[in-house]
Amino acid sequence: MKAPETMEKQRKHLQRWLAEWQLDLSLGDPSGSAPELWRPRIDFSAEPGPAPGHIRLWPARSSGDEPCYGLLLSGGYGRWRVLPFSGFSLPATPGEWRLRREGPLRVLQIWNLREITGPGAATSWWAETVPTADLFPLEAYLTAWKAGEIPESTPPEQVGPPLIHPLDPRHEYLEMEFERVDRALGELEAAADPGPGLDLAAESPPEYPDP
Amino acid sequence: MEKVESDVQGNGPQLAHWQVWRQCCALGRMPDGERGVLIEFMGNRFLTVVRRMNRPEVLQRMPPPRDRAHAFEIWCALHERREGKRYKDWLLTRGDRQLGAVESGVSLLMRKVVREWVAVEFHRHPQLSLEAPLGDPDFNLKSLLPAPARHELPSETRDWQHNNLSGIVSGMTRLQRICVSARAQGRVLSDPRVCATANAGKTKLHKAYREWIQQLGESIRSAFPDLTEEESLHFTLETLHKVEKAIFFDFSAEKPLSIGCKEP
Repeated sequence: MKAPETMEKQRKHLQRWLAEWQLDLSLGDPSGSAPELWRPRIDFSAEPGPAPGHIRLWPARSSGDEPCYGLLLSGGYGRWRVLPFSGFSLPATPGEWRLRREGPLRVLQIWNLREITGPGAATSWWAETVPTADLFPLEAYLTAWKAGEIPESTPPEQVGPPLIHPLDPRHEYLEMEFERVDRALGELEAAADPGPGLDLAAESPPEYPDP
Repeated sequence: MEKVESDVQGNGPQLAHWQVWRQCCALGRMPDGERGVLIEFMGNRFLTVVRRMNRPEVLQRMPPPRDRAHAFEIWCALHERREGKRYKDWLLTRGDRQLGAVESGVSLLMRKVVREWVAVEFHRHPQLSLEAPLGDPDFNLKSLLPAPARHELPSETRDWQHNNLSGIVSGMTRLQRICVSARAQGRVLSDPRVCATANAGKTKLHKAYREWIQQLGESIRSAFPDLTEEESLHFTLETLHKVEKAIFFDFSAEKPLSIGCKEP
């Protein structure tokens, strides 16, 4: 059972995150008119090649989007994993990890991880490199989170509170962020796994005769 | 209180001003004339975003244009070195690389600059209450992060679940089943794979999902009017998980649910 002090911390954390979310919504849509899709033609040949721990900036492919910052992790077989950064100061869910406390890039979206090709990783600007020592706990958490576990040693403020209610406003945030990153990195992605279950859910179950 | 300036650009910046800005690395290193033009522009864009909030107390504490422009530069840079200011490379290579593209890019970035400024200046200690409704009267912080159940639910709830699960699943439309299945897999409903499977857009999927969840909650509340709000929520979530499992296991194992699924 969750300790009362952990519950209290999580509620305060969520309260702060929701305040930021509501503030964000109050600022309205900056783009105004319907966004235009772009195919950026930028020469990245002078940039250092992709490396694990790089924070890189991918240009937006829509006139309504900011560019997309992401952290590169090795994906094996010439591919790269990109953890996009959230624009918020606190992690929204257990799928987000606080990398730093200050500056515009504080929270990583583990749940929004994308796997991209080598050339896709290279079509970006290198901005900074995260020290290897900071990547170890992140990789460990990433592995545990993918397995559906949250290590007990994880400090409550390091990741976001659980997402329990099916109509939680954070679902709207997840949808928006998924779409934003999809627009920025979608075309660069390696072949995506369609995943099991959806096709099955879409089918009508076979009708069986009554026994 | 500072006089609020007009948002009219007048003799605004030219593309060359922005190029000088990128080369000089910071407003503080630019020649006075060009710097003044950019400070005025950034200050006005900051003001435009603040005005959208329609909060007089925020407008009254507006910092001078120089500080607004400074806030923009400080916030957008990851660090002091040139590679920490790659957002400038993005601004100057946006779209058709003309002045309009640079200026609309500044507006996009300004949104977060203003949000951060307001958060620090006005929202250090948010006043949300645990019981206050959050957009929807049906939920608040307590319902989003409910405390663990303190005691067992009445045995009738188990019987109700056992007797009604098949009916609940068989009453679901194809879209509702796909939505529940997608969420159970941790997918968002706007995932192109979800939309393609459903052959429907995200708005339609959201509506279908929301309506179904509300319907489930209402069925439980009307069947068990004596449950507390907390108990009712726990029971709804528990039933939702059973429905997710029923959809996944029964369908994927091709086991009969002894029901026919209603088509939309």
